[in-house]
Amino acid sequence: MNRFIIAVVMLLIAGIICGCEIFTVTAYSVDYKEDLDTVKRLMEEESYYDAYKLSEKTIESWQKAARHLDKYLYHDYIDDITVKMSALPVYAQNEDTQAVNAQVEEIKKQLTSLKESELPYMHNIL
Amino acid sequence: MLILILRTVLLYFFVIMAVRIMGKRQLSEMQTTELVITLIIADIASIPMQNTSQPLLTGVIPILILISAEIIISIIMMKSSKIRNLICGKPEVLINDGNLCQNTLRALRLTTEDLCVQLRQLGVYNLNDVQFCIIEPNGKLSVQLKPEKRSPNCEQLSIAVQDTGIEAVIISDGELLKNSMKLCNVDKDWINQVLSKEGLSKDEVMIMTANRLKEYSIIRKV
Repeated sequence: MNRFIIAVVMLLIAGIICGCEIFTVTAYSVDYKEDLDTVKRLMEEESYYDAYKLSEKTIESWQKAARHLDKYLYHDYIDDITVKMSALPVYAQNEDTQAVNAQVEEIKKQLTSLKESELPYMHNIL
Repeated sequence: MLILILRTVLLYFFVIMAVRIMGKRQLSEMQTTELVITLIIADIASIPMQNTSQPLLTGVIPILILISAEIIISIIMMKSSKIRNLICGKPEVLINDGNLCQNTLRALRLTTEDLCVQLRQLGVYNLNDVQFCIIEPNGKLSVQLKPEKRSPNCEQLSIAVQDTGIEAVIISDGELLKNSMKLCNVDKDWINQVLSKEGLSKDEVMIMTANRLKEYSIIRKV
């Protein structure tokens, strides 16, 4: 009976960790997609300095978020997003709207893929 | 590299804990489920140990789930013989009252040579000596010899035998083994008495065994 309780506790721990992972990944994915959309909008409105400042702020907070995400996801995926995000302030400084847009879309796709691949859909399970 | 060392140490203790939680059954004769679990755990634990870009949790979570599943399945198997038979299989009679069950042998894809090899390992060299032979779910054979081939025991020979209880190691490499002392019903005072009679200190003893009748033997360290 003791072992049964241990088994149930371990299942609960696994369940809680999975819940935390899905919650964290989804929340970060949604938050950063919003920030990236704002950077894109600011570039289109030719507020290059604001876009530069926001992209700097975004990458700073992403680096903190990456530490949490590293606990749950493959570090290579997170590093790839970090590298792509690091290019945004440079593009914004150069007032290169097209490059920012392309980069933002790419990062958004990766964030969506991170979130989607952790959800228990049939295609992910299979 | 430091991360590799830390991960290996963490996973080492985690896998030991996993095997301990699964219980003693895991360490002796393995059932089908236990063999599968052991192989998978070994494999799962080794991947995040080597690949530092993979989160440790991707190794820990599957192991937690496997241990839980194993414990729950073993509890269910304990309660239901149908599920036990389904998962582990059931014992099959290979020799029934001296007759070889050829259909069972064919069904189990066992040749008579395989059977003879296993019987020889159990000290049975003649198939005709066997009354019953059962293959257990773990693949081992249980054999009962024909009555005329069995060794007689003391009861059958009307020989009175003194019950000495278990012969247990009470000092191993100078260290007192408390569990064994309980088993053979001796205490520290008695051991000290014996050692002083032999002119030895505890640290000079390689191995000391005793039984309930306080019969003992000592091997000194060299």
